[in-house]
Amino acid sequence: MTNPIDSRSDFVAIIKAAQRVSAELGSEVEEVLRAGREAPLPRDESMRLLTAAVEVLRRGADRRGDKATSASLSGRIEEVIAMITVTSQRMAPERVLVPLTAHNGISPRPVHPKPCFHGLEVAMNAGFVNTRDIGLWDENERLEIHLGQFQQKFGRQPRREEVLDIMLSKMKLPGIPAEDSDDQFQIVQLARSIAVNGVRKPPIIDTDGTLLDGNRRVAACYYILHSDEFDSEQKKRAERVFVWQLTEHTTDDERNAVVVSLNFEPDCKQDWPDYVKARKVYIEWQAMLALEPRVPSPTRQAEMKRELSKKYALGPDTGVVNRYLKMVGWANEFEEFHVGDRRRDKYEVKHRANKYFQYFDELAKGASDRSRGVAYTLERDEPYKHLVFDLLFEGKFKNWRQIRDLKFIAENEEARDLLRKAQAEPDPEVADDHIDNAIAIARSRSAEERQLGANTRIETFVRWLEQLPVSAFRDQIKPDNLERLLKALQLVEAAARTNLGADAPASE
Amino acid sequence: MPEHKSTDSQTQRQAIEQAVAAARDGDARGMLAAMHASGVLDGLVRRFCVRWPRLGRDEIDFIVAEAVDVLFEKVRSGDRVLNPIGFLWKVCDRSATDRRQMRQRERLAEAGVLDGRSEHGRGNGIVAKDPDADWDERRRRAIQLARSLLPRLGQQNLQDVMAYVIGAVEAGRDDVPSAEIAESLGLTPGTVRTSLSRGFDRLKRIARDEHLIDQDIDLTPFEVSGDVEEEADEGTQDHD
Repeated sequence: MTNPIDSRSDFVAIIKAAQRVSAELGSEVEEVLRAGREAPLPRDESMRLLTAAVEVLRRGADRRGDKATSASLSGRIEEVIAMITVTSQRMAPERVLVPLTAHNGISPRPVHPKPCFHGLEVAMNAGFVNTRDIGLWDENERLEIHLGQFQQKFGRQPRREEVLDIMLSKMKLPGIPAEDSDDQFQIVQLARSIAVNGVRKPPIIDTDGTLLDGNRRVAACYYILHSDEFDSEQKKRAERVFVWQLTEHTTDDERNAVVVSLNFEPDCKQDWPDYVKARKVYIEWQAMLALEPRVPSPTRQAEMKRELSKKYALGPDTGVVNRYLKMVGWANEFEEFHVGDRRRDKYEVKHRANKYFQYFDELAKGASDRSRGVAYTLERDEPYKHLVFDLLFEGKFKNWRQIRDLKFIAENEEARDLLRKAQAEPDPEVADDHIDNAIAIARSRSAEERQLGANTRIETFVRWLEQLPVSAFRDQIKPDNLERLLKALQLVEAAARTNLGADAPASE
Repeated sequence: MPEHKSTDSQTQRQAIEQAVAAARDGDARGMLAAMHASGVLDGLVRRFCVRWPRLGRDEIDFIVAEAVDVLFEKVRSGDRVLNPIGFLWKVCDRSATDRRQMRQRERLAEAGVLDGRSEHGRGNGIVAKDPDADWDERRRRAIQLARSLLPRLGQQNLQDVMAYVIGAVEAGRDDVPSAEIAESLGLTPGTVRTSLSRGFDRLKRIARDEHLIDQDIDLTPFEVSGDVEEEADEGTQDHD
């Protein structure tokens, strides 16, 4: 028999459900539209959401036996997402084609021979466009952290002139290291070259004027046009840019090949930072793993990594891919620690991870029990790892050798203490001294413990003692330690005189 | 790749129409592309992050993704969806509510309420049971009870409209727009809206008179926020 209370609550549930399904959601729908318009998600979050949607749709289609839908979403997840985003751009009504024009007697013409990008020949036209018609690439991975930060701060995507301000470091965003705060992308220097020589290598644009390659060059032209530093002749030179443009027949694969080729393959320009490249590779790797029916064997993993390396033009072996994956793993841990435990702003942390990304290469080395390198040491000592992450965030390490020597410090409390002092020290030079001293102490202790005998230890100690300034006894050495030293020397004196006999030097 | 999202609500709605058309053709990728262009997915995530602040971001992504799948399946199977954004919103909200209720039940179970060890429900002498138990049968009876009250609503339009909505609940539907009811019953949307408003008011009054619901019960269809009830629950748990 049904309980009357249950019946009542069931009845209420049905009434609520009836109200819910029949509710008019005019204002909520408007709010959803407004939020989507005015506060779109940052690119990384938007990609995560699309990835979730593709995965759920795939599973749903498999469950229903809907083969057509499964087929329309088949392939590598990143490729599916790329196709979705490319298709969505085409749907946008505000897409206006930017035509090439003639200038200085040069008419628009096809590029011959067809340029090759990442193994694909891609038809392009060459000609002039008005610099102001070119849209700075506001999805350029180089700017991803900055754009995410802008979105967080202002709740919208930046306008074109704001992207330029970001590229010219005019827009002050927290977390950008001080030494990069003037001209992080080195646009001014490039502008001075372009003012004299013009743009030597044509930027590549899409049919609507969106830049696929050449963000810095075009930003430099904008800078020339807006800066008093340049004369009218120089400004005129920057007003029109000779570009290569995709055609209306360009496929999504070709468009992607252009982007990958120009930003991953080595060139004499400012490449994307390793942080950006490595992250792209890492995301693709995760997507590849997700598609595997079971955990891939080492052989299969090697095969997958070779494929990945080839796709991103990283060479025939998997060395770079492996390095990138390890570095991103450490960078992720660094970011999680500072955002989660230290409650720092995520973009400020990302700037630091980007800035010191090469150090993660050193941190990742020697993870095995056999090699017992930095990674091995840090993995087994959480507080020490956090201390190192703090020092890294604060820019206290000056070179990779200091990172490499961290493995000697973990077991030495005196050296660790010096690292803590370095972390607390506001003066970078003093902090650097603390780190060097910590390493010296730990290395010396480590070397002694491993291989040196009593003679070498005494020689090392006496040499150090003789070189120590007298003032150190007054200013640096703790009274406790002075007493210990004195007692030890008195003991030594007695033993030494007994053993040396007549050869003992006379004490003063 | 650069993105060009819609810049006004008209183009956003057009993009959503494209998404529905793609779904009708079984083109899931095209549907996602159009939705992405419309910014509606972004908007849903933003709104639900505010509405359900205790849900993790990954969870909200998943809820929105699931709603997209529900919409796709519905359209693909030939059903009409007159207000796709409203539909997505309701599916997301239902899913978020389900998750919250599941957590509440887990907490109550941990506190020993559901197996009768505590005095939850004290005052009416009855210990609450696991709400999932026999739900289909209880739901059928509750719907039957609601239907039995419809003749007392008076006007035929009110009865027809409310019967349509109760039927939709019985069928497990997530959204029944006024326009659909109007089209099915040969009424104007305005009449449907008025009938719904009056119908629910009268139904609640009758239910109170019959002691089927408490006088002071809150019958708001949508919770203001996921936080409100969770905090109340935590308070209950503390007292237990």
